[in-house]
Amino acid sequence: MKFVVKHVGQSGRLGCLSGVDKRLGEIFETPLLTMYTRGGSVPHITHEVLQMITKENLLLQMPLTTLMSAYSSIESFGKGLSEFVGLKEYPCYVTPQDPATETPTGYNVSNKVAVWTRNGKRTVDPVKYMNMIEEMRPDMYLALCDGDTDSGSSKKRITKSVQRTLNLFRECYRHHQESKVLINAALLAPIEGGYDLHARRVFSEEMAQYDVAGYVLDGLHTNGAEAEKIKFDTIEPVIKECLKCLPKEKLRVAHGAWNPCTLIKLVAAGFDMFDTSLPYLSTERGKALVFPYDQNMITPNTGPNSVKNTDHYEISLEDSIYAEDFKPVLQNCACLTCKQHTRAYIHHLLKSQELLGRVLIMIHNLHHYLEFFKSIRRAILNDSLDSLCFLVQTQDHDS
Amino acid sequence: MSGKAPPALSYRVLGTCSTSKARVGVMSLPHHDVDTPVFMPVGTKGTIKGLLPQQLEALNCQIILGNTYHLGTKPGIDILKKAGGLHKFMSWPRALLTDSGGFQMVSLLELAEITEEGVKFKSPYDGSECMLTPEHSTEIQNAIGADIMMQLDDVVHSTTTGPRVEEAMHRTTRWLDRCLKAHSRDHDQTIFPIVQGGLNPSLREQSALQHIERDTRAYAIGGLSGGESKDDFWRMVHLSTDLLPKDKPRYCMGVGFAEDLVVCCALGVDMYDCVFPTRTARFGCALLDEGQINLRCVAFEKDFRPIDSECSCTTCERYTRAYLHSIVTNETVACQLVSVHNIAFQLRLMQRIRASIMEDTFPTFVRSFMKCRFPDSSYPKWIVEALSAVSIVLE
Ligand SMILES: [Zn+2]
Ligand SMILES: [Zn+2]
Repeated sequence: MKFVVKHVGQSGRLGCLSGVDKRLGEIFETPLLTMYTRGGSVPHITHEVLQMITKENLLLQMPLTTLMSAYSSIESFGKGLSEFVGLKEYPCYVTPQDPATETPTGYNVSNKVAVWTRNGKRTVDPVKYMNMIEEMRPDMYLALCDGDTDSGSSKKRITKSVQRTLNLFRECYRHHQESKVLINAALLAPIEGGYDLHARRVFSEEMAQYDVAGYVLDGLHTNGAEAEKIKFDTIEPVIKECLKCLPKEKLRVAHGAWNPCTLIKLVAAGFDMFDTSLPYLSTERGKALVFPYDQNMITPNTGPNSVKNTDHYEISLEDSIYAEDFKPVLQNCACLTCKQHTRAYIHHLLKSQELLGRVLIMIHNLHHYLEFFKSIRRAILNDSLDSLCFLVQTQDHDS
Repeated sequence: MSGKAPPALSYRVLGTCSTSKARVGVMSLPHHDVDTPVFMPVGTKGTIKGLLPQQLEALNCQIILGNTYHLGTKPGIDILKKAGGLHKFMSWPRALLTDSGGFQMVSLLELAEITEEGVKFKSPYDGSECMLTPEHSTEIQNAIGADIMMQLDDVVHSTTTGPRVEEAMHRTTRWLDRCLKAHSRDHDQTIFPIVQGGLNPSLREQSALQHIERDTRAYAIGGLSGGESKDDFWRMVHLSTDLLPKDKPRYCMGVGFAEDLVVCCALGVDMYDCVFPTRTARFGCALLDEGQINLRCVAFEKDFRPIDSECSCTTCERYTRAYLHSIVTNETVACQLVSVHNIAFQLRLMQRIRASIMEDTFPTFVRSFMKCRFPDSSYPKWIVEALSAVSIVLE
């Protein structure tokens, strides 16, 4: 897989990822939204429905935590992960941890990383990890790492995270270099160091010396909904420090359920790849994303004090105010859910604990985020990321 | 366009089996034409197991069921009225059938009590005393607006005997009259009377004859599939279809196991419904001609075949048993995928039945189906007897 920067705007940059093994000639435009999956499927979305959301090719982000229970099946299947999960047309990208689920902290030991599967804790060392990667044959993967740090981590924890990750990475890297199976797979290196600028610089400088396809900015949060609360200001110094030391032509990835505003600022800072954790988490809590990403969008009132409140980018369809609301989730939204169904129906489905409720919200949320990313790419070209960011924070008052 | 609007239900027989009572027909309803014999998936609360209306259409599903009791409590009749009926509320363009709500009430609410006026029950929400009368059931179903509605009937457990069965049978007829009188949308909704009479042949006969007198557009056979012996079950169906007019559709309520469907088609039943195929999908049970498999079983961990290699549903086209095994009961996607297959299985079974009747090879189909389902020819006695009653002999 190859990444090329095509255009550097006043802020942010456009590029493309190409040479994906499974679909020769396929090109993904960056900033790219990868599709978060659980157990190999987009949550609530079968292949049949995925086709109704978008016919575009998608890069599937597959957390090992959600797949490891099925590893013996994957191994004996022998044709790689994408085909095993019934999505062979889609390239896949494996990460050790799950960006949408909070990772229990404090369980990593020396050269073993805790991987929390649905059957509990498993520990994975680099040899085991690389063997699994070879069997899964992803198009892209992140090396094993100890990213168990956040803004509250002690210096001692950061030091451990850094030292262990360096060792884990070196072993994965050596294995990757020797592997014949992984010749076309892109290896991404983790960047650790918590919120310690010095540690970040040292780590980034070290990683800059390896021949990898890109870097994943790790260790800023421990995954799950906590990431949503992160304001860009708090991570800005860390990001600047890391990017300063890393080669500019390589892919830069930031996983997690960033709120839309922080995400735009990450794009502006030069990040190229994200995932759909936020649309997923939003769906799980029965909420639909309604923030505007286009000047012409009329978005609903998301509740009291919604003006410029970055937390209010969604509406809660379980709220009884929607029980008799026969409007679509979002006016003028072209998604399948909005074209055909009402807030009242989705409200009813959620209240009745019917599966279709979350299916319909997920369809809308994924569509919304995919369109949001198109808007981000346009804004980079027009040097208007600032006004997009302002727009995302604005709420019109129309219900 | 001028002239009279077509009736809310018209039925045409397209072909009959020259051996048994099986027949193929088309039932034209305001929202869709339905090929019979038909299996109708159950969408209790205005949805079926996470499937989009588009997916049901792609499965060639022509009619689905909604449950009046559930819909009446959530979202409630007011909202359904404001939405313009259930079709619009759930965005389902094809045909719908609703039950009367009575059966659900009697089976779900412990304190339901049946009087001449209706079904008396305590509200599960505020404990207040409520009454579902035939008029009320009809009014609710008129608001829901399904193509087919069911009369409120006096439900007794299928194994009940004695005077209670006779009382219920006569009351069901009186309630039918009240439903028909209260019905306000006869131009676009059809009420099905329900033949009752428990397992008593003479009561069944009386019930059927009383309903036939009312000259409705179709008939249902009720009070079965509730734990009675299969021997009693088929005899009651057989007796009912002998009496009911040949030019009108017959609906046997609550039937959905593959062998029951095949036998009842032979006995001349045209419509079926059952929660089983979709309910069982949630627990990872997939349906096959040979029976069912539980995808949770470790045996499927390395089974890279589709659920059914004969099946062309979107699940079998793409997903393996091993993959389904890895996500079953953990990811909702598994429930949707198995539901798609199970509905496809039921509909394909009906399609195969219809095709064989049209080619007049239905007895051959029945024999090969039963052979596949009971490979060592250990056919249950009731199946052998029921089929031989309509001249189909299993070797
Ligand atoms: Zn939408
Ligand atoms: Zn199938």
